[in-house]
Amino acid sequence: MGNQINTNREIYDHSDPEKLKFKATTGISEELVRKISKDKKEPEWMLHKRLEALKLFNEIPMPNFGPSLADLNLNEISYFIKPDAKKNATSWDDVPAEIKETYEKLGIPKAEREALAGVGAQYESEVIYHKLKKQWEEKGVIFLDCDQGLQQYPELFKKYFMTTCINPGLHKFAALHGAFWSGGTFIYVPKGVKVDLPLQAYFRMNARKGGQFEHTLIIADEGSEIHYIEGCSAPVYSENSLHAGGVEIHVLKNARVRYSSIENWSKNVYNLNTKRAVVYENGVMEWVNGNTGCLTGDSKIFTNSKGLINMQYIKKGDVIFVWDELTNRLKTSKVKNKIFSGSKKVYKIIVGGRSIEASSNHPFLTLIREKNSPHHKKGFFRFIWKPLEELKIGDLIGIVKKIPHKGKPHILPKISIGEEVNSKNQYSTFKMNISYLYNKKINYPQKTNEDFMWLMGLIIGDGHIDLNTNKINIATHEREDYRDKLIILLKRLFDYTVTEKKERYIIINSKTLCQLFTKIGFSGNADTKKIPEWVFTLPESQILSFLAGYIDSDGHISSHSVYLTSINKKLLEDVKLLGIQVGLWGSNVFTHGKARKSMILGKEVNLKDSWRILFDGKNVKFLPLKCMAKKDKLGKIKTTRGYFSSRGLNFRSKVNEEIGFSRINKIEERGIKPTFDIEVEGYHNFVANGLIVHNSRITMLYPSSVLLETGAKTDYVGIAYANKGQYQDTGCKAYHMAKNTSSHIISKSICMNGGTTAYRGLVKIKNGCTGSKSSVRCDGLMLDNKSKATTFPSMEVDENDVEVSHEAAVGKIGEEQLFYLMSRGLPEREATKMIVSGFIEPLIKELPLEYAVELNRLIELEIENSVV
Amino acid sequence: MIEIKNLHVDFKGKEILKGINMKLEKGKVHALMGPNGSGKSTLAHVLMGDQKFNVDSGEILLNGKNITKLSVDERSKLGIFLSFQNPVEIEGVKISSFFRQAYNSLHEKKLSFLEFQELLEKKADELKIQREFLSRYLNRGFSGGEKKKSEILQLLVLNPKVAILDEVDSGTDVDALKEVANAINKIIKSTGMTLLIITHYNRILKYLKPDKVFVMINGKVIREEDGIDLANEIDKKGYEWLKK
Repeated sequence: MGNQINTNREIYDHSDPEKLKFKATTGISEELVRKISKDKKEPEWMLHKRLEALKLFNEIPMPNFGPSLADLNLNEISYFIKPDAKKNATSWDDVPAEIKETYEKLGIPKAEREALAGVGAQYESEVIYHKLKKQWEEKGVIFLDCDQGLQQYPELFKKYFMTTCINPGLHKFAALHGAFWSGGTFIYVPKGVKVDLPLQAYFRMNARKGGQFEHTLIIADEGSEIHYIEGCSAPVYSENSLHAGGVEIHVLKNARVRYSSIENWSKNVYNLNTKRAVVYENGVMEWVNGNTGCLTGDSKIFTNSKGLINMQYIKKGDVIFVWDELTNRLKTSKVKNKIFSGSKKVYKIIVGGRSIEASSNHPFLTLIREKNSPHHKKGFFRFIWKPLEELKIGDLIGIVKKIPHKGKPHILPKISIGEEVNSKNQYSTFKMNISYLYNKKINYPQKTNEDFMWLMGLIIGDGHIDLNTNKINIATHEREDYRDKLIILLKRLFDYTVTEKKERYIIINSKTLCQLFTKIGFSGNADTKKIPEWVFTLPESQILSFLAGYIDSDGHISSHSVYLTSINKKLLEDVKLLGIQVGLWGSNVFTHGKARKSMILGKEVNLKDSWRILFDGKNVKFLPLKCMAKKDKLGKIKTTRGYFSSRGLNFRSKVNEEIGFSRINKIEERGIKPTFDIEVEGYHNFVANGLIVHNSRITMLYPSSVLLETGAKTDYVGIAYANKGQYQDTGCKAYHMAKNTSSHIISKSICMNGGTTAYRGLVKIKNGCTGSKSSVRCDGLMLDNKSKATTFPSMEVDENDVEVSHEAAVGKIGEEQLFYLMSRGLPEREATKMIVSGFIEPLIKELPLEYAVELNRLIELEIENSVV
Repeated sequence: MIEIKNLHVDFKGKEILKGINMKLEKGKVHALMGPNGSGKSTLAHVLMGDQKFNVDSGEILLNGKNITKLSVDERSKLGIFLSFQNPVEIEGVKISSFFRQAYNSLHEKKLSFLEFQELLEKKADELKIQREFLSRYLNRGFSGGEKKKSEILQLLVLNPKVAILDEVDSGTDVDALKEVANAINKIIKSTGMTLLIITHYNRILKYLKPDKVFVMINGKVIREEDGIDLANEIDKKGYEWLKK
């Protein structure tokens, strides 16, 4: 078996865990592909298949594909390659209490709980596994890890592995999967064999946890039957954030396959992007599905200690800002998990000068006005989470006006520059004292303060650090009234006396300061400067000083706002976010000037594109500007924007100094990008790009069946449950490609406490597929007024001689129903449970008993935990 | 047993009950009559605790205890039962399993599936209800008569202290009505149940002899009389004459 990385190996061979260590290799490269293949001792043809897929991955064009993909993959793949052995070393104590509790409530034995959580060695399971394995083997059923499957059954792999079902050319991520797949499950059921017990990957939990690109290949040969269960219905805890796997199922003539995945249903850390079955003559494919949106990786998350972080770099344990619905204030909470949610079509939403890219199902905090009832003549406002796809221009969206961030001064690094340098001439080497040159004794404070940050603001605005000449150039015209203040400040801060003064600028000659400023992130040219991340972690007063410095040097003040112009768009975007943190509300960064040739001071110069941002808000007046001329103008700015009213609507009661609402200016499509979601302890939302957004703990998963030959049939049974803050997007796709094919789809979704569910499905019947049948039933049940259930079934039928039916019923749990049941002595909770279990009863009937029981228990748990 | 004091109730701001005063005595049969829309069903729902209606003032006492603020299930546990005029359909919930859960939440002695099944079938026989009926979904696709029978079956099984029967005679044919009435009479005799029968004509009152008749018009009890005479008079003359 050699040096393979999947943890299944540990089950058989715990003697030498060292061997499992796998040197981290990063990057999507041919080298990595070759390495994976080599380490797995794969046959040559598989290596070629991987390389082919890699080539496709590089070739398949993806319009508008953001540059962030490269970053993501580099990152995530190295994550995957790191040895899994460490995961087993983690102790039961590391498993979140919530998960443990759920296991307990479900009555799962401790050994299995640990297995589910990926903790501990798997001796008990091993025994069970081997026993069952023997039974299967007697019937000729092959149930192996995919890597082993390839070793032992190369012919089956050649024929079925990523060929007719999921071809690497299907989409870019299928290609990525094809290049880097590892681990997973391989099942082959021989002709005519019926496996009565469901097969579960359950017993190979460790192995399952092995791969982010795990592959499941199921081949049901002619006339065979099999039920495969992906995991079990208990939540599976994993630290992995990227799961881009593939499930492919070949249902041959007269065979029957049922594929159940319920564990997603409870808490999703799993994310199989592609699930696809091909069904041959009279074959039957049944999907039983339970599912559990998302922001792009470059969304900026405000954290408490680390400042602003790109979403893709957020880690478990980071403390981030969340919105507390009860108090309508921002609070902090810990990140429990970050989930890669796959590459999705994303949309950019622009509101109140903020913007973010998110998938269509990602929910945002909106403020809606309830229309008049006899009691409320004026109407009233209510918070509601709405998925992006339901938002329209003009909707009121929750924005953050100020982050209640308690910053700390940044500790400045020590710069040591010898006073002597080694020097040599043609006679000898000697030490030369250079302290008289650029090293006039500089004392700088140990940590940042307001003066220091104002200076940094000047430097980001109009300063230049030249490491070759050890000069710092700060543009201040001799007529500028703050030049003297700067000189005094430099004396105060560094005990430095400015000697070089020019008409337009002053010069600081100091190697120490040059190095210091560079080291803390303030080097670069006008178009490469950026705000170092630590600036976001400073106390409010220092951030305001920094912004004041920037504005003193490079800002302008009109009668309505403060504005900054730059050729560096990203810099302005950062300034905007920094502003949000301290209550200065920036506009969008908008195009100010196009690249052109221009005459400046008699010289022809090439001007680059330039950008501009405006700031307003009450706090603008408190910017500690040092330029008196600007400060005067600042006092005269007429600004009233407070995000508490709009177009005659006043919603002051829902607004405070931290939270405001603004109308959506624009929503635009931005192509396909990798998206992420984060889970936070105790909350289901977080602050990203200055907007309050929801996490969604959802994967949009649409298993699809391709009915390839006459008589092929597919059933889909799906259930979705969305509790507070969740957004469940489920559905299924059926492609009828032959005569007399049929699809039967039933989906039930339940939402409560503000949760949202959506059914999204597709039935496609090709022209000529006469005698085909399709029935779709998708029902939604809302347990309260705050929740929302929707259905988006879609049918493309190009043949007349077919039977197609579609039923959708979306309703709220009736007050009447509750009243009725309660009048017979049932407490509200019991009554609700009864209505819910009645609602899903038709679906439960289609499930195997043990799953029905477990599913019911899970639903009861959800309701018990949430009905107050 | 039950005392209603100056009860004012509105529905979405519209006053429906305008100061009701009534006393229901233990073990007696009371009839509440009145034309459509007079507020009878509202009173029945308010007695049961339907949150849809706002109690603006007044109180409901059960054996001297103020129950006006109690929730529906709490009232049920105190022994109040409402037979609905038009019970809602609940899909996926079987009569037998619902009845059993209701029974077990109301009674200290919990019955197992088999024990309950025995009780249920015995009561079903009294109402000439077929066994298959018991495994149907609650009120789903029931005819008017079946709905009423199901309600009365619950009454028999749950055995409450006070039963409010809202229009139990509407939608039932003569035979079914007789069966229902017989079963109710039997249970009154054996348990001393207090009854409030809501109806707008006296069909059922021929079988269930009321001890007292109340007449409600436009949200007020305008008349109350012991015995059945008032009911018979209404049967002949309608309600108009009472309005004067």
